[in-house]
Amino acid sequence: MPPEPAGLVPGTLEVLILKAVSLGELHGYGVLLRIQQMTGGALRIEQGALYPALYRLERQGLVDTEWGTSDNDRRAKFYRLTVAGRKRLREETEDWNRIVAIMAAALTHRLPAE
Amino acid sequence: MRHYLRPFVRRLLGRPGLDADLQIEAATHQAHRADDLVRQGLSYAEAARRARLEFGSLHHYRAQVRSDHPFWSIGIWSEQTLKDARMACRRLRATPVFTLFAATSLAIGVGATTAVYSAVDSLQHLASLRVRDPDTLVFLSTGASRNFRQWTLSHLDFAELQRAPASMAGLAGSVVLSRTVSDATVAKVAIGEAVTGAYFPTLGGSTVIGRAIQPADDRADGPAVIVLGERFWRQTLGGDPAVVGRVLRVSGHPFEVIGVASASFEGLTGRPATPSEFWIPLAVDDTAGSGPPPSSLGNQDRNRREIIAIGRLTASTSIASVSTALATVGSGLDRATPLPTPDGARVPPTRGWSATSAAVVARGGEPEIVTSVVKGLVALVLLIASANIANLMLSRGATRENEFAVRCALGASRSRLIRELLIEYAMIAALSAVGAYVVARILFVVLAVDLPVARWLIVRLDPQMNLAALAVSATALVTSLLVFGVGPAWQLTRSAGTAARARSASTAVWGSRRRSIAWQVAISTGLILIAGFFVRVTINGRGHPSGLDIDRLAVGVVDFKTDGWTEARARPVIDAIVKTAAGQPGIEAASLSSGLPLGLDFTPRASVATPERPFVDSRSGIEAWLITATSDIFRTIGVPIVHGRAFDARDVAGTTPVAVVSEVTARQIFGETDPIGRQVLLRNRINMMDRTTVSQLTIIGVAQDTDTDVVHPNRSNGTVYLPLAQHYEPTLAFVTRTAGDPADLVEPMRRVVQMAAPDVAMLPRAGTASVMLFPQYELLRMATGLTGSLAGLAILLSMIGLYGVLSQVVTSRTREMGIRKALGALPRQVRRLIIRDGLRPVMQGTVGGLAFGTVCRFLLRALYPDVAIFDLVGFVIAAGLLTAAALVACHIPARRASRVEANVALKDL
Repeated sequence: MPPEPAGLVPGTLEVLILKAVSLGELHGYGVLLRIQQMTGGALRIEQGALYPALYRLERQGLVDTEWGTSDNDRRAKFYRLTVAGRKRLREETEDWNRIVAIMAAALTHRLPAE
Repeated sequence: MRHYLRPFVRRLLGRPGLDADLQIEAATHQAHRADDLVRQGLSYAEAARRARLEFGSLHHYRAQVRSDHPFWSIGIWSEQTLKDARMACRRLRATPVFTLFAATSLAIGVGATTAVYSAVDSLQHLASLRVRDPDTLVFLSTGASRNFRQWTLSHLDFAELQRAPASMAGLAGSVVLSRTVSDATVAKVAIGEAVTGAYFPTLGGSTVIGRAIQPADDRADGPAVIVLGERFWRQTLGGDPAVVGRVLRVSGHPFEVIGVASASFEGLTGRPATPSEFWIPLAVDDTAGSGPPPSSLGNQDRNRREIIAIGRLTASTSIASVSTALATVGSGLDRATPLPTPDGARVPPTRGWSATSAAVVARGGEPEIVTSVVKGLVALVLLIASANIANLMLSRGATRENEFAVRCALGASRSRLIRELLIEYAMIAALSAVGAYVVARILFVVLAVDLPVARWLIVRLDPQMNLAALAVSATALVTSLLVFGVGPAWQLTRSAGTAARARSASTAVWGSRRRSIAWQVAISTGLILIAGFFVRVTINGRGHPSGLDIDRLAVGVVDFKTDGWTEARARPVIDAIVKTAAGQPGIEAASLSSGLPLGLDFTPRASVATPERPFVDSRSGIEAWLITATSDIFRTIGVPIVHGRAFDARDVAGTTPVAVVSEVTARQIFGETDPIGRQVLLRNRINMMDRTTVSQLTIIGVAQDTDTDVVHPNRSNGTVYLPLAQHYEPTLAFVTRTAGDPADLVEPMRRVVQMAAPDVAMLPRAGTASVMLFPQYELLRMATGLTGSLAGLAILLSMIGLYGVLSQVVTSRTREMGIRKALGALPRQVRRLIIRDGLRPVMQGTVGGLAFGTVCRFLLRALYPDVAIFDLVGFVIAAGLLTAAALVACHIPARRASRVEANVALKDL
């Protein structure tokens, strides 16, 4: 039995979406599947919450959208990373790595032996 | 930014907005998820349910999206507004009478007041003075007049004042004149001024090219120089840059151009439409005309006032100190050289020396009283329109009180109700804006008239929209719309849910509105009386038979006082004009004359005496108009010969000089004895200048009397007619007579002159005799039209108000009517009750209005003393008109009240 999926760290959904669409153009449900694939299903995501995040990214000019037809012949909006989005993804990745390193260092910190 | 705008733009373009996007994406998402779940083995129904559950609340996410997008709220708002607008449309359609009345009141109110104000304003601008610093510029004159162009001094007095100790920074003189300015390529009758050297410095006029006239030019033997007006230079000389040094002929005499005045300098013609076109030195002016040199008797005449004298106040002088100084110098002059004894008591023995600030002049000329009266009336009508809108709005508010109360009780917020109302009123305002534009346009067409503003010019008065007036009237009316429209709703929503409260108030409301209606009726009545006054002035003047067939005449002016036109050259042309004109279709008779007995300001005057009692001094003899004309003159203007004969082919140069005199003149000279064959002496000024000649003439006929004045017709002055064949005059009125509309003659006349002499032009001023000779009546016609339409408008508005209020009263008294009918009142009695109620404020207002109108007429009588203040016919018409209109306005509500069924009205008791 797989472990219970973890809740999302606030603010990380946007980065995950950027990462997901950086690998290729996707529609909303595709983004969800890609994130689950990337995380091995270890993160629990409220599916509807994707959309406000996607709209926010669109508004910030980090993703571009285009209406098209999905693989089961439905009207779907496809999201694609813009240049600005790619830059943001890089910055966010660096930030994340630094925070993780800091947090890891902080959490593994031990008081020096007396 | 693109991303901010896109949703909004999409909404505007009608593509699905974010809401719809989200909906589609959510559906696609759930469908994909369901497909996946079906593949995992779930039933379709179960898969769809699970997909929905996993997606979560679309409503919740939509709210998130909205809060992230600022423009979303605008979209929502505009959607809501659109909904409200549709709602307002439906409400307005449901009450068409209210909508129509409100929009009409607004449209007429804004359109008519703006148009009338604009027309009056442009009228005022025709005669006003635009000079630099009018506050320190002073006009010096003898004798007072409302018209600054008559604020003049005689040459002699002006010269004395120049010698008197200076009390001002400068003293300049100017004589406004018209001259033909020509050279080899151009010829034009131009309006200009003969000025002293101090003129340009005093008025602050500058030149764009060359120099202005200087004090050094103030010598009779000085060089003949001319400064051109900028417009004349540009339009007539094509803006020739090498104009300085060019020689132009002014009435045939050479003048060298020394400069061009700057465009902003208009001179003292006092008409922005026709600024001065040239300036020449006053000292050399007399060589330009055909008049005498300055030393001759003419300029010694202290009654010949033609110099406009202006001075500048210095820092240490005030208008009061200048007046005092002028009075001292003036009375000294009057004592030193007493004026000759005047004929009768009309000329005051001492002259009123006055100094007037140009700031007073700059505000407007002659028509000031008429225009200020009309402007005041415009303000009153605006007041009526506002009061009327207020009435309508209050009525509507009262009928909707229940609706608002219920909606408040159901939880509608105040802001929502107010927003709805505002949208409703905005729609009414938009509707009426279109109406106002149409009304204003129509009035502009109606109000455009030809006004002869000078001897040389007819100006088409073409009113331009006065934006300030538009702003004021629109603001006033929209404010009253909003205040009285939103006010009741505001009041009501302050204490929500008071549905029943409304009804008791309506009686008090009726009281206050009755007063308002009484006021409106009073103003309307007053306006009718004022319009009636103008009508009466027109009728008094026009009704008085002038002695000429005015309605069949057209008049033009031909001027041979130009370059190279000698008597010898002009005579064949004059004959050709008369002959050609006689052959034209439509022209029954044609003649050329030096003037007409009335209305033409260039008509010369002469003094008549007999060889037995010849002239003793410059003032003896009998004054008369002098009309030197071709032989057909009597037939043309329709003046019959009552005795003797008219001129004919016998009276040519070389034969005995003859004259025809009017009955008055004959009586004045010979009493009741027969004048035919008697000799008279005639002394006349040649060409309006002061060189006089005396000739002896034989009287061959007596012509019927004609009026010799226009606004105050009188026949105390006579006329002497001479054959043009025996005496020459260069400035001639070309008069034609038709059986049809004289307006159709103006073009043929122009053609006739063109055919007879291609190089002499009929002056631009030409038209029917009623326009040419009676410009005052054009002004009066306009004033009548203006006040008449304002009165009509006021009546219409107050009746709309009356109707609206009465309708509301009837609605609120339905139950009372029901009870009355249940108790046995007949429909007729109920109807009478309502009509009586409605007529009461109308009667009160009519009485007040008669008083108000009488006061206005009293004020106007200062202008036209011949018209009675009390005008029974006018009173009866005013009162009758209003009562009739009120009956119409009361009729529908009264009928509705009389049809109230007792059982219906009493049902919900």
